[in-house]
This record gives sequence, structure tokens and C-alpha cells, in this order.
Amino acid sequence: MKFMRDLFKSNEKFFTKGGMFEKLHPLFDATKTFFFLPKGKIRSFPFLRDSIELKRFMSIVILSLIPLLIFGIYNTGYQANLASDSDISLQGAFFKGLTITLPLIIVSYSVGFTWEIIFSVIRKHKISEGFLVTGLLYPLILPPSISLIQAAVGISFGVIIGKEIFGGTGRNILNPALTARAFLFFAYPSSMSGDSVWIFSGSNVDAITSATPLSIVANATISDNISMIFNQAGLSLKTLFFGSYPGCIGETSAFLCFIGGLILIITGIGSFRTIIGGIIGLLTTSFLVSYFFKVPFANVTPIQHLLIGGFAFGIVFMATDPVSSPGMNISRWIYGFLIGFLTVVIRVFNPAYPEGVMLAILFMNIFAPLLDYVETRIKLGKRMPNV
Amino acid sequence: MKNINIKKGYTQVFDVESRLEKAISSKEVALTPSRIPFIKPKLLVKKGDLLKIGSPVFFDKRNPEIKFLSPAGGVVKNIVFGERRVIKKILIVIEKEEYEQFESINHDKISKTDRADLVKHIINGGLWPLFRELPYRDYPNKDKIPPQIIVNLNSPEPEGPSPSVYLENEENNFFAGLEILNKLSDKTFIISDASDEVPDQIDKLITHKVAGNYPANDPGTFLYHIKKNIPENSSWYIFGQDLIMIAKLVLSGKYPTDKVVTVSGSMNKDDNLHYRVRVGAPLNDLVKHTYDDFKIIQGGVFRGYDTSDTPYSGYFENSFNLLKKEGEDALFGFVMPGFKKNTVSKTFFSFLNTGTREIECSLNGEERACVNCGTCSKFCPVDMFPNITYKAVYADEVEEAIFSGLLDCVECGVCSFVCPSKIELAKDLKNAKSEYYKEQV
Ligand code: SF4
Ligand code: SF4
Repeated sequence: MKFMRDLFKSNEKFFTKGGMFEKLHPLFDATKTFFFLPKGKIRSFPFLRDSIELKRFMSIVILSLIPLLIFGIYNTGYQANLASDSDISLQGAFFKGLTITLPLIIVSYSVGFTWEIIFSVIRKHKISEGFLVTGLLYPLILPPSISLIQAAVGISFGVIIGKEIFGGTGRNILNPALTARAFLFFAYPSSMSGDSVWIFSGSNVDAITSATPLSIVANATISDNISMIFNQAGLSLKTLFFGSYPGCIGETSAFLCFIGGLILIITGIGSFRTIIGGIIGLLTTSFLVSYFFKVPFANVTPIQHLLIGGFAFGIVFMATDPVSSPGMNISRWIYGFLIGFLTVVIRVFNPAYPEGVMLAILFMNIFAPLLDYVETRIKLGKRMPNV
Repeated sequence: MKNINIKKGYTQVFDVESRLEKAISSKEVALTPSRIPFIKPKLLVKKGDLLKIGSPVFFDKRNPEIKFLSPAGGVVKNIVFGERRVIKKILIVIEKEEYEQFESINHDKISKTDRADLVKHIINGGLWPLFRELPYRDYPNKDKIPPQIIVNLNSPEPEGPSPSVYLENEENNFFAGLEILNKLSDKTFIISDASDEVPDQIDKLITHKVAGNYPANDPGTFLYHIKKNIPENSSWYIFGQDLIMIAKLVLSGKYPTDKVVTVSGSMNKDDNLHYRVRVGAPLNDLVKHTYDDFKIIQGGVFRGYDTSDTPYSGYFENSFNLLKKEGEDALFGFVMPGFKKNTVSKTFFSFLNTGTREIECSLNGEERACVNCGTCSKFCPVDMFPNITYKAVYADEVEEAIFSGLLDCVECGVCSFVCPSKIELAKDLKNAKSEYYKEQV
């Protein structure tokens, strides 16, 4: 420990004013504070401060993502090896998964952090912790077959347009990871949707097709029994729940998403209002749809709606991002509910674009400030004036 | 008597024993004008002057009638100035103890005295500023009739002197104090923390018992929860111990010199106790150990002042807190389980630990932009949304800030305590409030 402390101390001079790398001070500072949590002097009352700070805040989100990450790595490798008749043992699958996933994670973090550093240097700000989470969320919502170049372009867009042009973490309106993915979806639709992107096939073999639950429903007719087709495709409720089917790297396991959600709710980092509101919104809307509409999606049960696609992941990890979601309690219920509602609406009425949760969240991100505004106006209006 | 329950806020407890350590006599005292809010002090003495107990030492330039008197008889040994000629301390070495004699009024004459005479009496005796007017907390204009006066038997700081200690044998003075208040205002509330013991005779008079976390019994918080109309906002308040001092002044015609204070904190090596001391007494008369490398906070760890360079008991502050300074930066601090961390969040395992926590005077992080997490609103005792008011203040939108409750802010510091982005909410709101006040007058 002492060695590291001395290392930082002896090199600090290069990065402070007048030093050789003065401009890179944000980088030095971010590295140093990554290892050594700064205590900081209190300059005004109150003379005690809570121990929580943003790094802790963000590392709880990372912690709750770890199970999904590990399972995602395994599942991605497993599906790839299964399709190409290679080693599907635990180690074999995991190793294969690592070779697919790790480069994406590295690209995500390194490209994203490069942009963060550039903007911090220009703005002479400290590097904010926000990207710690974005950098991990982003690869988890990519299809395994995405190319590294595309991944890099996407995250650049997400960081710059989704966050930095608004002024950085805390001032952004949209969730940067989702912005990145939405950009990829519209820029490279063939790499982000369809049936051939969910299993990694390498560059030299033909793409392996595999229908996702959502595309199965989108292609079904009204008279089809969806549950039966799911079962035939090997997508029983149990599989959907535990997540061993092809899909985005980290999104498939609803079970692990809920575990992560539980961690976020217990620690208070993610708002239970958003998460539960979202689930209620999704369940009620899909229930009503199945009653009143004659479309293929009407045959999907509410529980299936909850498990398929990226809903569980989205509502737990994307919708709860405090910056892009409302801060007020009732607004959070409404915000969550409407995300659930819109997810189903997009799924049901726009089968050409079956995955609704991403757009639903981005859309509600835009309305979050309005929800907050209305709620604060109403609540503040009830205050007795003090003049 | 009514019970009031206030749910928000946050209590950091330093238990102080309800026991009075024997009287302490000091050899020198210091006055610290910079800790009296709003005043613009102008000195009336210079180095070497001989003072009696009750001789004026400085006055408020805004209102020359308001003088602050010496709590000791002796010689002005030194006057220390800080940055921009702020008077940091006026040191007085105690020598010959003679009293400046003021008029005195008998207990049974109080009710027959004219209000104006009584007020003049208190002003001449240097104790008028002990009355404070909400919402800005400056001393009130003497000609105003307040809608009500709130007497708070507790201290503004949770670990301050307990009424069970300072009211002992002071019942008669307290009753005289209440009669004085009756002359000043038609309505008086007497409030006390529900968990504090108060001598029976006085307990009967309490109008409201307030339960809840700090700052539940702050007069501002209390008023916010009971007020029924707008004029009530400019209620006055006074703390029980200060009321006793006023009563002593009026009854005896002598400037009261002592007060009960407490010493506590995570670094206090003696017992946390009450002491009866001279106003302005130095901390080293109270604790036997050294404290050079500690932080000394007076007036409450949440809302007080860092007085590490001038630890003298003050005109308002009744508690000393000895805290640990910020330690070394912690390796991988953000992933450690943290069983002893002091926090309201559940991101550390300390929420399972009901035992002692590490209490350190440290920011525990660096300032960042607000992430809209809503924690500050969850804890604000007067239901404000501190982040929203903060943003309005920051954008210079005064009307918006006031609409969002700026003037209700009781300056408790809880929002700054809980904020994970380490934003100086409370400080900036307090400053905005006093800026606004200065524009008003
Ligand atoms: S806004 Fe004012 S009253 Fe509310 S917690 Fe902050 S300092 Fe206390
Ligand atoms: S606690 Fe801090 S970060 Fe959270 S909403 Fe309040 S000001 Fe913003």
C-alpha cells in the first residue's frame, strides 16, 4: 500500500500546474482516486458527512451487474459453441464467451473513457464516475455478433451525444448506454436486429440464425398458440426465466436481472418505485391487450411479456439511472408505469420493431424532467408562503 | 400539552451524561464576535483597557444601541484580527471582578413594568440579541410585537445542555423569564424534546413536546409543522438557558456571567459531561487532555462552526465537539464492505451494525454534479427539495428559490450530510437566505 501511495505522490508533480503533463491532470486524478478514495476536507457546516459518494453509488450497480455479466459470458459462449458443435462444457463455453465478450467490454471502457478524458481535459473537470456503469451496461445490451468497430462507434455516440453535449454526468437527459444502442440500431439495423445476430459465429462462417422470442411472436398469426411455439423453439417459461437462450449478451436472464434489482432496491440505489411501477405497467397493459385486441401479441401472457426481450434488464438497470429518471416519488411511479405500458404498446402495435423497452425508456427519459416539474409545482404550490 | 412527531431529519448521537461537573473558574475569557450572525461588530475597547463585568466591548454598527458586554472583569490582553480585519477574538484576563450596575426589577414588579422599559433594560444589559426572529434568525427589531415567542428548552445542537441539568435550581429565574416574555408578546410556546426530562414544575408549562430526529426541536422546524397563517412566520425564539440569563439580568441588575455547556465528541477522552463555565471560557479549562490535532466544532456538528483556532465558549454556542480530522485516503475505499462507516445509506454493511461507527470530520469523497437521487429531499425536515432550491439559487432565480421554500430552510445541514455528490447544499442555501435578507433591510 505504501508503495502505491508513494508512487502516486512521486508522480503527482508531473501532472500538476507547470508539470510536463499538466493537461492530463484529470486522468491522473481519476486513476489516483480509483485506488485511493479521497477523504476530503470539510470547509463548511455540517462537519460530518455521509460515507457514501458516487464511486460507491456506482460500484453497487456494477456489483449487481456482475452475476449477469458472468452468466452472459457463459451463455454467449455456450450458444456459440452449441451452434457450431464445439465444446459445450462449462469451461469450454465460458472460455469461448470470454473471447467474444471481453473485447467488447475492453472497447466499451477504453473508447468511452478516452472521450471522458478528452472532455474532462477540455472542461478542466474531474472525470466523473458515471461512465463506470455505462461502460459495463453497454456491452451487455449488444448482440454477440456485433463488430468491435461498430461497438466503438456506438459508445462514442452514446457518450458524446447522450451525455457530454449536455454537460456530462448529472446533466444528461438520456441514458448514455441506451442512446448508444439506439444509435447502433438505426445506423446498422442488420447488425442489431433480425434473426442472425444473436449467436456469435466469427467472421469466416455463415451467420447462424436463431429466432428470438419477440421475432417468433412478430411472425406468428393470430390463431397460433404462442406458448406452444415457444416450447417447440426450446423457449419454455423456465428457459426464458433463467435465460439460457440466444440474445443480447447480458439481457437474457430475467432471474438474474431480478436479483440485481433486489440488490439495487435494498441498497436504495435503484428506485423500487420505478422498478415495481414498470412491472405493474407491463403486466396490466399486456393483460388488457390480450383481452381487447386480436393481434398475435394478444396471445402472449403477461408473464411471458415480463420475461422476453430486454424488459427485465431495462427496467432494473436502465430505467433506474437516477440522472435520466425523475427524482420525485410519484413521478417515479408514473415513469416506471409508462415504461411498462409503452414497452407493450410498441411490441404489440409495431411488430416491425419488436423490442419496445429501449425506445420506451428513451422516450420516458425525455419526459422525466416534465414529470418532476409537474410534481414539484403541485407540491410546492401547497407550501404556506414564507415572506 | 401537544405531542408533535417529526419524521425526517437525522440524528447523530453523542451521548452526554446528565451530570454537572463542578464549577470551573477561568483565568481568562475571550469574546468571538465573528460567531454572532449578521452583526457588524465595532470595537469599543482597546488593548490594555480595564473592564468591569458588564462593560461594553463592541457594538453592532447596523444598530449602535445593541452592545455586547464583557462577561468578566479584567484587562483586555489582546485583540486578534483575521482576514479582512474580522475580529477573531478579544482576550480578557480576569483580574478584579467588579460589576457594572444596571437597574433591577423585582419579580413581582415585572408584570407592572412598561414593555418599552423592559426592552430597554434588556438592550442595555447586552442580552437583546439572544432573541432571534425567524425566518432569518437575526435579532428582532425592539418595537415589533411578535406573533409569538417560542421558548426552546433544548439546545440548537442535539448534544447541547439538557434542560434537566441547566434548569436545576433555576426554576424561579425561568418563571421570571416567562413573565418578561408575556410583556413582549401575547403568545408563548414552550417546547421541549420528548425524550428530555424537565423538572416537574416546568414540565407542566410545556405546550409542545417534539419527538423526532435532529432538527425536530429547532424552532424553525417546529414552526413549520404547526403554523397556521403567514404572519406566524416571523415568530421569535429563544433558548431556555438564554431566557434564564435575561431573567437574571433583569432581576439582579448584574450581567450574568455563566452558562452550562457540554463537551462531547468521538475524540473526547474524558467523560462527555455538562460544565458550568464563564461565558467565553476556553476549552482547555474543561478537558484535561490535549486536542491540538482534533477538529473542534462548537454549536453542533451539523450546524455549528469549526472553532479549532478559537475554542472559547460563545454567546450562542453551548457545546464543544471534539472530532477526528480526516484520515489518509483509503485504498479501494469504494468496494470495502464498511461495517463501521457512518452513513444513512444501505450501501455499506454498517446498516447492520448498531454499535459504534467511525466518526470523522471528513468529506468522504469529492464534489460532483447532482445526480438527482432524491436523498436530500427524503431527509429535509421541512419538506423542501433542497436540490431544486439549490439550482434556483445557483441560477439566481430568487423568486423561484423562495417559492420552493428557501426561507423555510432551518439551516440544519442534514441535506449536505446525506448528499452522495457532496454538494454544499446547506451552506449555499443559508448564504442565499442571508443575502436575500440583507437586500430586504
Ligand atoms: S434544505 Fe435546509 S432545512 Fe432542509 S435539510 Fe437542508 S439545511 Fe436542513
Ligand atoms: S442528495 Fe445530492 S445528488 Fe442527490 S438529489 Fe440531492 S443534491 Fe442531488
